[in-house]
Amino acid sequence: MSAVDVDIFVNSTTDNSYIDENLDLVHKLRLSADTGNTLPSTSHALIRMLIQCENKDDLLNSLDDRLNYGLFLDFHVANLLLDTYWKRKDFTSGARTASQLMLQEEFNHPLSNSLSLLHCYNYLLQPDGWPEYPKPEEPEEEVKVRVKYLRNFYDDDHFDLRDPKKIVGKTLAMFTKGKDDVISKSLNILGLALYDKKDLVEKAVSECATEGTVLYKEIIELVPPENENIKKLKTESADVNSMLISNVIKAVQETSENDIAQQCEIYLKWETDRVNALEEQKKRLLTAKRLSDIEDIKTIIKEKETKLWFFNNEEEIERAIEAKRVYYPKRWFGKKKKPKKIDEGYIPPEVSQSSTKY
Amino acid sequence: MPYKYIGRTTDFKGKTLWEIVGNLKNFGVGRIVARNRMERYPEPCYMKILKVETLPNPEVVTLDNLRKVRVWVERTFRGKTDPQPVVIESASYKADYKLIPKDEEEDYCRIVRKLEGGILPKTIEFPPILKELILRDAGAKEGTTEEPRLELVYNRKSLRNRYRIAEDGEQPTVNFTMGLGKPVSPSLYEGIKLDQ
Repeated sequence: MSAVDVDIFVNSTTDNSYIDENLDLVHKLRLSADTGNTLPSTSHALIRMLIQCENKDDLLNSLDDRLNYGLFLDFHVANLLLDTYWKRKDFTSGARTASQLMLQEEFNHPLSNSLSLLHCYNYLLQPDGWPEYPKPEEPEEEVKVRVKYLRNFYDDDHFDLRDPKKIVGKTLAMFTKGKDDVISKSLNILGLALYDKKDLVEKAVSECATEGTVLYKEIIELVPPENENIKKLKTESADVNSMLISNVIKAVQETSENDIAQQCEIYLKWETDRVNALEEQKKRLLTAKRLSDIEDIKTIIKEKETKLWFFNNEEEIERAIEAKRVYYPKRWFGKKKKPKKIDEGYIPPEVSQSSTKY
Repeated sequence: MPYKYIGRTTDFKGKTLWEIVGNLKNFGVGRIVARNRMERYPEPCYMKILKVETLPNPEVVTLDNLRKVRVWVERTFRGKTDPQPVVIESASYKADYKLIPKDEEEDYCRIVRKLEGGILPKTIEFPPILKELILRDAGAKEGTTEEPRLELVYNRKSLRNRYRIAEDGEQPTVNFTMGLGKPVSPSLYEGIKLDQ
């Protein structure tokens, strides 16, 4: 199982009929030792193929299951995905993609940021369609399994998040962290509230209250009703959607040319990388094959040698045969003596001075 | 009814290295990982991932037989970084590791320089009987306020970390007395007048 071969296969099968095989191959690669050498073009090509064949479930499930598939989003693919989902108005999938970006903590690209915020906000306006994570199968009766050491339950608040509210909340909070404009601040509070971090919410709310910033009503309305201190904030209504969209357009204007040029370069680089990796693999396999051939020849020659030099080495061969004789330590076949059985009814004789006759 | 696992308990709290590293793009090179076991120390202990080599998945994955990964890290133990990178392979199955998010990295790794241990006194009182003797010998010069002080000799090597000896005229922060000092278990000394 080699990473380069899988990469070449995934990149060359542009037809939709090979999806299952591709996923299977990528899964098998992930379980092998060569995962460390996976080329980034593999996941790029596979995700684009999945977009092309419009297989939403497979795509999002395998993106989620990083340990088994190892598909990661780079900015180009992420923007592509978010854009396709925006055109289809599929905000749930967009929110899921955004959460993947959040898990990898990649907040550098302004276009990805703005698109993710857009999708998350729109998802929250109509939250549905997030699939439930399948629970592992369990037998009906209690089955006891013996293990050497028990593993303690641990929930890191990051990769182990399963509640869609918390995931979207954390995405919003992390994407808008540190930013100063009103929309970011409001989305930040919303995100923190959904993510259930009451103390951080209070801190942000008190900051806004002291600075007197006016937040957007539409966003604050989405905050779950348990957070009562939200009411302290001043709000005004604004068309959040259009503001987010204008952010996206701004980001596009900033970054599109650069991105396009960079992506073309990256494609060329990937091609050369792939060719180099293939050459290296060929070299490695060739050297390995040559070594094994040499070993074979060596064994054949050694056999010939024994045959030709038999009469010279006859005495040594006889000595070697004698040396193979195994000497066993002497074993003892005697009978073990049992200790004298004491008769339980035995009463020892009474010995007294007077009984002696001498 | 779920599977009921029976076995020895551990006090590990976290995820295995593969579960952390396999979830990250580029296998988490450049991220910081910490072990829960090392959190017992007041100083920060963390490991920065430098290079990752993956190992194959074991054929039968059970709770005993988890996937390992070979990771080269730059380890910082109790605030001191090792000069050479270290390989973690045989300990990577332990479910004790946690990833530190990028925004909390600086906070976690900040070494809070503890305040200087203190300033140790340069001289100390003489033991009582010796003091009497010295005062008697120097008896002619009565009325001197300056009583003789014994100069202390310290093991210089052990002082290097936190303490230093007071210069002339400096007030030491740590006080050594010739008396018994404060007892560890005062209940044993009830009713006894201690000369502190």
